[in-house]
Amino acid sequence: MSMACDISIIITAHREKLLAATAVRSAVAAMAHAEEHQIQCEMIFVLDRADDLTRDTLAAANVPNARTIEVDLGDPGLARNMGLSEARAPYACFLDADDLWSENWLTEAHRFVAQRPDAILHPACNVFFNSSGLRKLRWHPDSESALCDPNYLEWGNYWTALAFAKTEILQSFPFRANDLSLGFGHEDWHWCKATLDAGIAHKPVPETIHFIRIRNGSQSDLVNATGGLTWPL
Amino acid sequence: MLSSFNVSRGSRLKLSPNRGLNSKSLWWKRLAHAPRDLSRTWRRCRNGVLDLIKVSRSNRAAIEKLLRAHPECAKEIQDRRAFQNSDLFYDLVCKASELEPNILPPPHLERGYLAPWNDPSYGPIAEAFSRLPDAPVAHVILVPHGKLGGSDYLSAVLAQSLSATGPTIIMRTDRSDWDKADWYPDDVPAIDLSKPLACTNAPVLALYSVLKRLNPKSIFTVNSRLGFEVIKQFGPQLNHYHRLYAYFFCADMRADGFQTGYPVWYPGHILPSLDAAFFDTEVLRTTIIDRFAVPSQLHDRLLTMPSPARSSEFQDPVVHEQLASQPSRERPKILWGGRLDRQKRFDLVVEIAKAMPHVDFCAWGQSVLETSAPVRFLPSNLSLSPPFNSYSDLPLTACDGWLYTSAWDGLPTTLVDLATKGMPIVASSVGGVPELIDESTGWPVKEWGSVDAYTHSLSAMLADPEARRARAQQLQERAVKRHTRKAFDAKLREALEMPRGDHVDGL
Repeated sequence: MSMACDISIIITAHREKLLAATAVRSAVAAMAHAEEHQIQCEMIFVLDRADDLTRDTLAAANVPNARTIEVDLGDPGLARNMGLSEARAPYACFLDADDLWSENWLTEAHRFVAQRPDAILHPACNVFFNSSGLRKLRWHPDSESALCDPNYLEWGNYWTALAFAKTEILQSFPFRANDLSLGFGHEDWHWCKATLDAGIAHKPVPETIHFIRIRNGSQSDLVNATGGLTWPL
Repeated sequence: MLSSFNVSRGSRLKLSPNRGLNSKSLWWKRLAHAPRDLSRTWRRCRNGVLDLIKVSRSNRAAIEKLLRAHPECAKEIQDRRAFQNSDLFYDLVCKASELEPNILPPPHLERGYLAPWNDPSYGPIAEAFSRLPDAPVAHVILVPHGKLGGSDYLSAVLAQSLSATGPTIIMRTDRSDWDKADWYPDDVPAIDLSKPLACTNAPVLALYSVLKRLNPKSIFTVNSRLGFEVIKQFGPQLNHYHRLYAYFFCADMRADGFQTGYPVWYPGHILPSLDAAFFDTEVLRTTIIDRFAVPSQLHDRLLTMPSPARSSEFQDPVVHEQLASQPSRERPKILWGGRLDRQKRFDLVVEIAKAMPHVDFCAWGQSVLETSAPVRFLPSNLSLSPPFNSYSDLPLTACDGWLYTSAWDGLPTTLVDLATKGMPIVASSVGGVPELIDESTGWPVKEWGSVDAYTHSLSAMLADPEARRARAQQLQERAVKRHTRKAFDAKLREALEMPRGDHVDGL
């Protein structure tokens, strides 16, 4: 991609198969919304040990100017790091290939980051869903609010890894690989703790939503099945 | 993909936020007080907030207090509520639903969840965190409680020894009892986590979180069941960052004669995660090595750590005064002390007293672990008093020996203490007792449980004053040499400094 862009969209894929199409289409819709506001985006697919159907589904989505990186890492955090190493825009964000963004996510996050370039941004809320009718609305707390207890991160996680921030910040705080043989996982949780501990604020972008798919066999399932815990800082 | 977002440690993937809250949540304590009067605007804000995040009753007071101190939080939450009720929200969800119809539009959405306010598992954890010291900690000792037992005493000794090498804390994990505060050094904080840990639905995970937050160099568990459990469940993770040690005392015995208790339940699971395991007797160490065929190169990580005697000062053996005062006693006098529980076999003492009517027996004790049948119809030559507080309460120099009748044991600290005082002892030859009392240092009873065997040994002891003197002196020498604080500290230092090498898997 030769033209200058503002946001690098990093979509990590593994074996989401046909579900990857919905993720990519939501990203494309958010890109289009951003472009209406003169925000240019690039899209990077990181295929980490992806199966053929996932690869073919992403190809069939036919996203113009998307770049694809094939890696053999077997780790969602390392895959995001790899995507970051390819990012050319001053801002970057992540999407897992079975989740979706609200259409306005990129536009509003880009607007918000102009005020808080030092922060890591999250949507105002997540809607967890599955195909069995489950719906859960979870609000993302603002780490600078009195409503947010930082000690809680020792017990539960506040934020997902589907964050938006200056590329430089994200590259300064790479994800740590899970080590399920040792019983350490939840790379997103650890990353939230590490960044907050380093003084980086986590801010929700008002009036934005992520849609998080709950499904069996996810990385999180795998971590929980092995009694996985977060790495200590 | 569902990440670990909002996967509370206590509830894992169960996303339902409204399970019962077992403890008051206290993390709001750090918040300042706010003016008392509630303006109409504030009331509206409060109602909006409460409505939005549906806080439980115990959290309601907390959030009201928080909102008084931080009115901007009310607006923050009101903005969220306004967004959820907005056309924009509806529109965004509908557009996403067009791409993925499994995302249904708003009427199907629940109200919302905001951690930590809606996480009922967090209250006890916050309470536990609030009790932890801010300063760095080098060593954590996990104990079940602080009672009067041998393992309680040992944990106090361990605290004294460890505190000399770095900041140390003791954490009570199972019960809040703290009966002998004077046993423990002043510079070792004793933190009671038993109640918050009991209130959480995931106590083992909660203890892990506490340990992780403390980030000590080493963790010792001394008869803490939760301590054993946390190593059993998360030993490999803990061992990666901390040195892990566990202290084992003798197994308990079931009514059917089979062993039970911590040395039976845990070694097979936790030894691989430990840097070293301590045993109060050599016989227990040998039993564990044999049971699990522990490879010889790891034997030096299984250490016998005899409990130090309470007094390390050499005293003139009490047997000397006993023999000197013997002519003033009309009848021989034998002492007995212990719990009136099945293990200690006070029933044998009763039968022995009946079989030796020419001897007076003075006993001290009460039932601790079991509800025993009331002691009735004691023979006239047997008196029973409540437990003694100090050896100075006992007629140690105006008696003729000590009787010990346990059916099983490790090496009780009472015997160690009496040994250091030079007391003639007739003792069941069980557990680790023979390591201290054999034919040269006392009168071991190998047929323990047999009234005749005890009466035979007592008679032999009473009939031979010179043997009493000789064996009691030998016993004192052995005990003073074996059960010293210096020896204990040296072994502990050896364990703390053991090289870990390439393996991080402990044993």
